[in-house]
Amino acid sequence: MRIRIAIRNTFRNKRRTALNVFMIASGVASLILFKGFSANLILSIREGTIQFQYGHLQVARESLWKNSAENPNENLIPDYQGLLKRIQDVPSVKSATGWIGFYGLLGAKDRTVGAQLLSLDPVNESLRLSNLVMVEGKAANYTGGQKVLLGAGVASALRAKVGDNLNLLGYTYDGLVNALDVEVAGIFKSGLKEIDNVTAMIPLEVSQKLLDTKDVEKFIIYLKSTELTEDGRRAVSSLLDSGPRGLEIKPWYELAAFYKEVRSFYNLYDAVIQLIILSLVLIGILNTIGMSVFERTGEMGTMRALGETQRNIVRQFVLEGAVLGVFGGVVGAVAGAVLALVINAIDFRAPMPGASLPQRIQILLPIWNFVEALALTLAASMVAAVIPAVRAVKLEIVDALRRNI
Amino acid sequence: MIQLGEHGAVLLQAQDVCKTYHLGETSVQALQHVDLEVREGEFLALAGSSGSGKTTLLNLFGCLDRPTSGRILVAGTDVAKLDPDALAEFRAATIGFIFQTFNLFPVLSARENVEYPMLLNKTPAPEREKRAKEALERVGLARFLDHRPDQLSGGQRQRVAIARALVKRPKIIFADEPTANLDKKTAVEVLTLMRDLNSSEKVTFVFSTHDSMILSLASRIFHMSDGRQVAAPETPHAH
Ligand SMILES: Nc1ncnc2c1ncn2[C@@H]1O[C@H](COP(=O)(O)OP(=O)(O)O)[C@@H](O)[C@H]1O
Ligand SMILES: [Mg+2]
Repeated sequence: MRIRIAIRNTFRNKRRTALNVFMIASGVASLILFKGFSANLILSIREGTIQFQYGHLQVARESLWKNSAENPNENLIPDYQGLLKRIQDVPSVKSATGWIGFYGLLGAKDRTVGAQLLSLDPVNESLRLSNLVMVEGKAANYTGGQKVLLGAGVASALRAKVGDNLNLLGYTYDGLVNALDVEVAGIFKSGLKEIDNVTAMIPLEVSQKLLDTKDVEKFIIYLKSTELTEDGRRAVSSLLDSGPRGLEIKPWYELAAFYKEVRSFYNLYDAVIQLIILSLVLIGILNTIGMSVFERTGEMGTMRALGETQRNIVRQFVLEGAVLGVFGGVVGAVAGAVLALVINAIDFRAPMPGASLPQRIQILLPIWNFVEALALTLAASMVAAVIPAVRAVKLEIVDALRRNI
Repeated sequence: MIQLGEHGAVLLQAQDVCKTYHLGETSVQALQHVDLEVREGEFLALAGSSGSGKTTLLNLFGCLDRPTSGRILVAGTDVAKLDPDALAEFRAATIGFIFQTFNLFPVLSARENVEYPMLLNKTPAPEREKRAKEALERVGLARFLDHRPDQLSGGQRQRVAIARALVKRPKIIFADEPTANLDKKTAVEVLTLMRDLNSSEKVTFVFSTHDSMILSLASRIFHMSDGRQVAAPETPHAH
């Protein structure tokens, strides 16, 4: 019956309640949209980091991870083919490939640019390859042979075009200078300018040929999904004993320092925005709820004369705040979800910090965002009710009763 | 009029009660050395012109306020010894109120308004509904159970309020100018109803009025003027 009373009182003043519901609903909807937006942003940064930079898992020698090798030779994994094959057969593994990264010089006619040359396997890393947006050339042209893909920044520093032949210079593992001719198969944008300015991709065989080795420095392992990270890690770990000694596995989240920073930044940013939205809701409804409570001081006097304790009266008003919060929250959740679906249906792209290409705006709608948004606004509307109720209930009963006249 | 012999034990006692209100610099002596005993079963009227202290005295007896000095005993309990929560509980169990402005909850139906006091002492819902229905039938509103206060006339509203006061079977019901907002005919009807309940349900009533016609229905009249008891009205009441 208390709840029934609370519901009826909540809808007593239609106009005022409509205003409150509107404010709470806007708060919930903006929380859902904002949180869904930033969740998607973090997710796409995470997936981008994994797919483009690190893979889900990497296996390398301890000396490489610790940067403790006196001689770069020590980092190499010899006779890796058998182990790599077994890793590729693990059920959660989508693909696995050998990798070498080195610093080299790319020379065009009259320019030389230093670049980070990373292995990119045209077959096993097709997803990574397809993630690269080719501003010139086609990914399909990057098929084995002495091909190179240039980051957009590297290409413009070299004034290189697709089809150009470049001179690639590097030190072999034995410390000798070696050079090869490579053909520009494409110029890419990865989505991150920092990468496009310093990176070029070449097939592993080309690196191995230039650096005069049959070995690799790392395995890059892609899983069927990021959720399988722990499964995959366990499965691959158990295979490592069968391979060369001293191998160690690292998952993406230990490697991706940048992602971790981005995520903690966005978490803080989220918290601040949420606080602002909630404060606005609170300020918005505090006034109207306060008015309603104040107008009912006389009613509080009657309730107390009938034997209601002050605590129970405050409780009743907080219950009314909760009813308002739930109602506004449900309206807001529906409105937020509908808006999110509309935004998701439109292919809406916007530039984003650190991204060289406009990113598609997507709003994720995990159930958790709804729960959190509803809980927060529910708390806000209960706070908005408790403050004036506590103040009003302190009045002497006889003074409160006089307000009925 | 004074029929003390018919009545039972002492239910209310005011002993040398004073009540002073402070308004900034000035103070108002609303009650000055009032002594009054009310026995079970009485139908007592507090009479006096506006400002004579009737409401103040009812509020003290009703445990809504505390005297500045003197003692108030209700059913043997010294009201000064109870803290606010205990007072609330005491009111819920012992005392019913009827107000000049009816003070029904506007969002509740007649039946729900009458159920409300039973909510406070946690009466189970089916019993609440049954007793509320009976109480409304008792005051002649059997056909208005589901009406909201704004769908009822003044007299009907006051009957709902009477049912609300009666339903928890209190020892005593206080009514502060219960008929002041009603026309003459309805006023007499409402007071006659209260009088009937007084004898049939054995509930003590103390009510205030400045209407001489209403006074004639009282079993005893306590005349007041300027916060004191006076022997008899100096001038006939105008209303
Ligand atoms: N809360 C209050 N503050 C100040 N003065 C009050 C208050 N309540 C009553 N009074 C004064 O006390 C006197 C008695 O008032 P009241 O008991 O209401 O009389 P009645 O009910 O007979 O009209 C009046 O002079 C009134 O102005
Ligand atoms: Mg009065």
